[in-house]
Amino acid sequence: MDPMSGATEPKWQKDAADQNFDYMFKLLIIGNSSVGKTSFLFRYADDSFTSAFVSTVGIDFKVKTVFRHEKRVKLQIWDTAGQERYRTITTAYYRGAMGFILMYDITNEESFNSVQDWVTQIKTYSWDNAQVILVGNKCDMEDERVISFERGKQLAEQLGIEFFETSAKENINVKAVFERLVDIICDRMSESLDSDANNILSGQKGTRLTEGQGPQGAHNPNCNC
Amino acid sequence: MSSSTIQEDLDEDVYHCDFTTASEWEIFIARLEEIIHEWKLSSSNANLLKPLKPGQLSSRNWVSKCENIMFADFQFSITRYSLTNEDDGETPESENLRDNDDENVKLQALEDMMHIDNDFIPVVYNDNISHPHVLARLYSLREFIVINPSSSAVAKYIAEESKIKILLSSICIAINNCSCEVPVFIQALEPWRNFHLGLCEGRGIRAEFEMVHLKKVPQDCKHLTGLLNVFKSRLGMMSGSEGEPVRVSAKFSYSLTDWTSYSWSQEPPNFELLQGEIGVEELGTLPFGASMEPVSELILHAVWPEFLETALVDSQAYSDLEPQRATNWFLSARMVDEPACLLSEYMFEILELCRSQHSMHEFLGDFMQQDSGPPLTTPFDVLTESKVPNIGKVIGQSFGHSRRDRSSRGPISNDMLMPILYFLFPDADNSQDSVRSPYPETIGNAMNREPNMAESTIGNGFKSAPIDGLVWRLAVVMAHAVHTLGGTKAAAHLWYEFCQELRFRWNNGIKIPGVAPGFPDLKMCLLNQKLQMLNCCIERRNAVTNAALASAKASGNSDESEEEEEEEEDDEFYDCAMSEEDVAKQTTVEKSKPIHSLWNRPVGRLCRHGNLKLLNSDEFLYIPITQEATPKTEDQIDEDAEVLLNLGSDIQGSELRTQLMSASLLSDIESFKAANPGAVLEDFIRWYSPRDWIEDKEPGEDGSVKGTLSSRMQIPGNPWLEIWSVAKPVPARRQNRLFDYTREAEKVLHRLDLSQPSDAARLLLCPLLHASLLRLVQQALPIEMPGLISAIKHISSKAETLFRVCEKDINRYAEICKEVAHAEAMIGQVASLEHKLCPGTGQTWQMKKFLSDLVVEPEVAVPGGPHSDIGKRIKSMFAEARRVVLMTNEADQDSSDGEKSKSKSSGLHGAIFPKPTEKEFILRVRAACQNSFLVMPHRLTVQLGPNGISMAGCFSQDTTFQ
Repeated sequence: MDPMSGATEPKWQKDAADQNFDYMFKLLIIGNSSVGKTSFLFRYADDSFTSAFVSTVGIDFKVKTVFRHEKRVKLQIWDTAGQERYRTITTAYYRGAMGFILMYDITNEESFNSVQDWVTQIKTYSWDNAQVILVGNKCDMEDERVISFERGKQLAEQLGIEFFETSAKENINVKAVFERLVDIICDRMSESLDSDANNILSGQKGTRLTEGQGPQGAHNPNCNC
Repeated sequence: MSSSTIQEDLDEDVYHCDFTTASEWEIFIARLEEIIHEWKLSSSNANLLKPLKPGQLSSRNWVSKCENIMFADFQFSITRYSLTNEDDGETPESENLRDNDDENVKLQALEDMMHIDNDFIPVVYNDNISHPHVLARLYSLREFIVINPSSSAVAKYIAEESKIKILLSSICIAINNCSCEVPVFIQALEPWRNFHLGLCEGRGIRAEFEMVHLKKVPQDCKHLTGLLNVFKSRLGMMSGSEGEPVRVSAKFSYSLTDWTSYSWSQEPPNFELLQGEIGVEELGTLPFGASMEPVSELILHAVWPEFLETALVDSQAYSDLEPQRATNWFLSARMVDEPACLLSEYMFEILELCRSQHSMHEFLGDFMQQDSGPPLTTPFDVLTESKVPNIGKVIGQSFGHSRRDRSSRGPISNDMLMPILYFLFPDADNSQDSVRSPYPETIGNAMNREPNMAESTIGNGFKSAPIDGLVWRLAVVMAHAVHTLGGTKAAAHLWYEFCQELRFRWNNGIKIPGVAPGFPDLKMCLLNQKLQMLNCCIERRNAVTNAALASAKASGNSDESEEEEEEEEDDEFYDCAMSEEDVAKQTTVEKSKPIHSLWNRPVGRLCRHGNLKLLNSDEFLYIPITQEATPKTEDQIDEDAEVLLNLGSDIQGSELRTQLMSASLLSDIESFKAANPGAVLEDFIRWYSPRDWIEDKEPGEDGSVKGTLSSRMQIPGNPWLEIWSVAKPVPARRQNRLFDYTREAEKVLHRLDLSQPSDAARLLLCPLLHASLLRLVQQALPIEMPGLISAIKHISSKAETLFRVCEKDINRYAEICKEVAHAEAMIGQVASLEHKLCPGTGQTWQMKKFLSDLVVEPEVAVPGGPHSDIGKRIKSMFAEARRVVLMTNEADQDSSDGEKSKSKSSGLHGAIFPKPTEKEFILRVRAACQNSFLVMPHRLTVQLGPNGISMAGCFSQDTTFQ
């Protein structure tokens, strides 16, 4: 289905060992216990789905390399345990993460109510330029839905982040979420690179500090005839 | 479409064919015309533009267009300079200007040239390129074309007269053919001479632009009278003849380099002098500003904007042009290159220390060995003395303790060291009733930073330390140590003492002050994290010893539970205080109903989990006391992550990771089992991961809760099942410690002990840079120099990024420091200028603008002119400098008596100012002269300076009636 996600085990190992990439992004999937974080990651990385994955103990990760804007981007995706008791362990890994997938379960009110909490966690423990996408998972379970699409959308807008409803089981929007997140991070990165280029320019002038003024000391008010 | 291109091609071919017979000269002219057409300068019906407002020639932007042009095989570049028209819709008015005037024809260039509002505009040189172009200054032109040898040309300049003539006549032909009224210049001689000759023609006028440079100034050209004669004779006007008088503008410049008592200087803080009286003020602040005079020269420009030649006299014998009587005064300031500034010196010295290759041992050698006694003996103290340190007793001993019997002195003397250590560890100072420099109580509380200060927007993302916390203070004090207390040696000593104190505190269970409570804050710098870690260790160990003491007391009082406490003092186990409830429950339960036999009595209960009851019994479900989470610093987390990553991303790796991560799960399960005898996995899951317990819709017949584990918890062999099956009921306080505080504390202390001076400096670099940026902002705010604050913010955000990515290359930080130095120099320059020109507090907005303009602008008008307060101040500066010169002259020699008497005679009111370093005149006249009957504009710009005289004239003639 997806030519880019290496479905077979050997290929995965090769990718993991492959150091040949242009960028590496560290991403984290967070959210309450049993909202489907591990399934989501397996769907994306291995294109596989099992109805029951072992409840994650602490933290785990997967790697996937994608091509985006003609660049090889290696994604190091950390999958976290959602249980309250694991907060201290998992938040330690927020540092240095460039993107977060904040997940709730559309069939579970509590997981949705916790979203604000998780956002606070991100603000507290990650660098301030980390990008976040809100994901309502298990959208295949329409019969048991308790959180409408609109509520999710509204909350995301309120938080100023993007929003997707997904299904790891039916493979809905899984790839889209990761691609969007990578795009947002790339945009952010090129922004900061641009400003960095400006920095270098102003750095080369060296003495020019304030706008539109010549360097002092170098000026000669009189013509040097 | 295609046919037309073919047509064009054909045309071009014909065109080229023509050239085969044309001379190189003709080709040059044709190309020149082509370019003039291309630039649309051939329209002769353009209206006169409004005269420029004062200063617009330099304040507005200039644009330039450049083309290449060949003369035979010599490449020239031709450049058009023009002032952008940023006028706010005023252009339409200009249409009438030409019509309603007298019958005289007018050319834009010549009208601009005759207008006085843009005289003497300052020219800034940047890499030998002037801005605006010197021609704009010499002739007040707003648009012109310059042809000069291209930089890629073989010969760099043209010097032969014949070549110059050919070029000028080519120009003449071209601009006549195109009716281009924009003046065209050629640059001749060496580029540095700025020698230009030019031509402007149209409407029956030809204006020639000429130039003369003389190294030796002829006697009669030194004064206005002589220059007027030169001007008039060039025009063919008889000196006594009728006609409009010549209008003169003049500018005299006076240089001041001897500051006498107006000099600026600032000493770095001298702790030797402050001995014994060093307070927070001196130790806690970084010095700031120029330590030596940052201004090298002030140049006063006295300007007479316009007067008639008959109004004022300036001759060898007498001059009316006294600077005090000038209409306007302007001031230029020249700055010292890379002035000595205290803050940046501090920064660069710390950077130097970061690069240092020396070891601690090299600096401290014997001192360290001799001093290694106390750390060895203290463990014994701990064993023999009371286990619970009496804080009051211990603190008094703190530093004095290890220092009392020291014979050799370290690089920092004890007199100096003690105040510093008391500043860093104020709680140790029991010599006074109140602590002298306590840490802010809100340390580490980000909310409590002053919100409405501009400085709070700087460095909030810094990987630094709490402002005015221990690490912050250490960084500042370290910088002092390097700069004033003995350089790298002193830094090594201070670091050593700091480490000693940390070890002393760990050994004696005294918490480290000035560090935010709680787990290491990963947003802070590594050193701050390490100290927080050390505090965590001290806290945990103190909790353990206190608990041990409490239970020892308890066991002394009641013999009931003695069998439980026998191993209490063993540090190997995780210790946690027994809750009151726990003890109470135990006793009541035992008394009322012995449901638990001795071997499975519940232990380590924290509290009931709501009203939940165990599935298989009537007991309530209790939340156990669990081991607290493990604090970690960022380097440890990175190491952990590295280990996890190295296991690979396959299934086996994943399983190994689960095993590595399951220690805390096992601990929690064991605690749970101990607190809830007879519980099953389902009970544990209901507390630990409630969503994995799926309750049946309908309660059982007896009203009891029924349900099942989620399918993922039922997966055979899953870690939760397996760990549950192997876990024994062990209360948290009997378990192996997940967090080995002794080991962690030793790791921290060891790492700091082993730091070389360069490591220590690197650890302190971020807080120090943070502190210096805040200092910079603090100093920059009151100056209100436009753009300065935003420039500092820019530096700050660059620095933040560097520290975040843990940039190793010190040179990158040096770049930042250079920018800090530059900003500091500017502030220092403003301070020095303020000290000289308008000392006193409470400067007005205008005054602030004047001062910061002086720093960044080439020339600034003195507000209020010669008679203002600033003007008086300038006069007295000149007068004092003059007095010094006269005194030294007199003392020097009695020779040249004539000179002396002359200076004395003119000294009555003129002696205040020295001879002008430069004189400039602009002479203008509209006159009919030579063979012409028309009144034409003429101008001569004269500069008299140390390098000789330079005259640039523009003389017009009538082409119709010649």
